[in-house]
Amino acid sequence: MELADTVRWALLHPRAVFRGVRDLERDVSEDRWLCYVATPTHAYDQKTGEKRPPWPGEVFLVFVTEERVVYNWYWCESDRHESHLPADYETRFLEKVL
Amino acid sequence: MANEIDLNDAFARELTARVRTEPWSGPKVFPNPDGDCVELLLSNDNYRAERLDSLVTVYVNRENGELVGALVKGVRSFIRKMVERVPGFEIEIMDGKVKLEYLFTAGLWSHDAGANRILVQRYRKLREIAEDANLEVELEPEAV
Repeated sequence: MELADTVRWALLHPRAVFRGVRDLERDVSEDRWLCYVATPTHAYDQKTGEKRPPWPGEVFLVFVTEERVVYNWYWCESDRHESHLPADYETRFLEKVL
Repeated sequence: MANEIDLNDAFARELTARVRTEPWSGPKVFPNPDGDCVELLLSNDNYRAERLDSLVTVYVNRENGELVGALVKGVRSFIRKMVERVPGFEIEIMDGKVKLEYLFTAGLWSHDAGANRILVQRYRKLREIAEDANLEVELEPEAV
């Protein structure tokens, strides 16, 4: 249900969009990949598939390649100060584009 | 912001039709060539993602902190780098497949000995699981 619902909702209602993965040590070519950050109004229980309130203290991330293919998504801890952004957002992306 | 997603449209119906109902039997490996990544799932427990480093994001059970899975990113470039640095690594690629434990081992070794304890523990656990289940990842031909 996450792909059918939450992922599509996140792409339509991002709270922020980040570009690129900051990585000084490895030769990765993900500079044009995007990460959409959203705070959906509900989540799904992965075991039962049932709708539930959003996971507290977390934001939903959707990752998109430069060909604009969604390749992954998940909930992760939010930043302590900017609760609509993921933890470590300042160091894990190249730039904030939205 | 209301929910504007139509869960009765063709896309949602197609996805719902693909949902498997049989009991979980893990672990499972899902290669994703488009994303140049490999996903490992150990159970269907609820999890949140925690980024270990630029190579691995782990999925952690929200209730008990146990590992639920992992996402290994940048597999193509990682393998290429490994073969460049250590040509013998190519020997470990058999029929276009490489054991997942080797990726976790190499990821672990890319940190210095003083790397934080949780990171080392997570890597070791992933390596142990991959080894026990003899998990492999199939590489695209150009990756090698």
